[in-house]
Amino acid sequence: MSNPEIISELSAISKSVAAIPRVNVFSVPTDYFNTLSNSILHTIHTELLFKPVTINLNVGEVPEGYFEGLASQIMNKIRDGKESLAEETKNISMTVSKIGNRNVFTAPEGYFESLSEVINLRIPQPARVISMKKRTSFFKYAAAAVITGLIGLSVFTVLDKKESGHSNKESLAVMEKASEIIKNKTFDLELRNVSDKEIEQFLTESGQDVNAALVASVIDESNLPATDEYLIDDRTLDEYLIKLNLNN
Amino acid sequence: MKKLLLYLTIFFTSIQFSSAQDDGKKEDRIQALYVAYITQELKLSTDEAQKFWPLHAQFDSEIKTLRTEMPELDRQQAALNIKKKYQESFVKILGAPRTNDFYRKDGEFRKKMIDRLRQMRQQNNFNQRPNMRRNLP
Repeated sequence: MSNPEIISELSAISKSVAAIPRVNVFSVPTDYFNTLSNSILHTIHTELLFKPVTINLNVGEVPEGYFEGLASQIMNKIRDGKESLAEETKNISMTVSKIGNRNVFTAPEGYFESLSEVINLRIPQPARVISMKKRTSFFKYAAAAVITGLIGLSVFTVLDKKESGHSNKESLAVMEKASEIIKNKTFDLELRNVSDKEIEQFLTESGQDVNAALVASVIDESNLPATDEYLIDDRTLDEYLIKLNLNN
Repeated sequence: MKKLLLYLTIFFTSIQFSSAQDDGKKEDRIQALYVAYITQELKLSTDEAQKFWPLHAQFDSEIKTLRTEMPELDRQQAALNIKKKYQESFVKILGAPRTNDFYRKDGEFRKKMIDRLRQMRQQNNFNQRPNMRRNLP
């Protein structure tokens, strides 16, 4: 404690502190710290373990008959000393006191009876899905029909174009066939393969009356019945026509 | 129901289709016969044929506008008008005598067709109605 360096440093910082004489002012009796723990334990034992009952009893003393009237006394104090409930709420908040005891929530008459129905109405009904299905199937087939029609039409228009555009090709095919017929001399053979419908069409197309032409050709080639035969039998002409067997 | 409609549509479309194609072929066959006949009968050279048949196609398409339903004299008159109209062009290619020949041969071809048609009809009738004579009074 008598380090001259420390003393000089201390006096440089504060001379008044350095001037204080370096003496220990705190002192204890001899053997104080040796017996301290024992004396503390002794105190704890004597105060807490051996005298607890006396301590509690000393605190809990009340006047006689204190507990008998206590509840009613408290209730009376609450009733008398303070304002009514309405006054109390009025003091706390004017707005709340204005509402009072009224039921501010009201519902129209019969509201809760019809409530479930109203809710049910608002729920979207799944039954409509069926009708939607029907509709889609109808549209599906309608669309299919339309598409088929369009395809059909387009095919026809394409064919028409081809027919008009390739008429040269067609006539070329006819020419080739014709030259084949000439070369192979198959005219009669080909003629035999042609159907009567085809011939009819060919003749009619150029405006010829096929039936009239047929009768005319028959008359050209066959001999008409002799004049006498008409005189003998008036059915001769009928028979003649039947013989020709032209009626279709 | 709609499905049935769809199938029917396809069915009829295909029928129309095929019949249209058949018609084209059928006409072609007689047309080929006609060309062969006329070419042979008129002894058309290649050069002549190359000029004649395109002109004839035009002529033919005009003749085909005539209809059997027209009054007969009107029809004949109209046909004659068309022939007269083409007369000059035909003469340029074939010369006047062979143009006359063409008209004759054209008629002969038609007559051949009618004969053939009559043959077929008579044969058909004979095959189908062999008892016809017996039904007579």
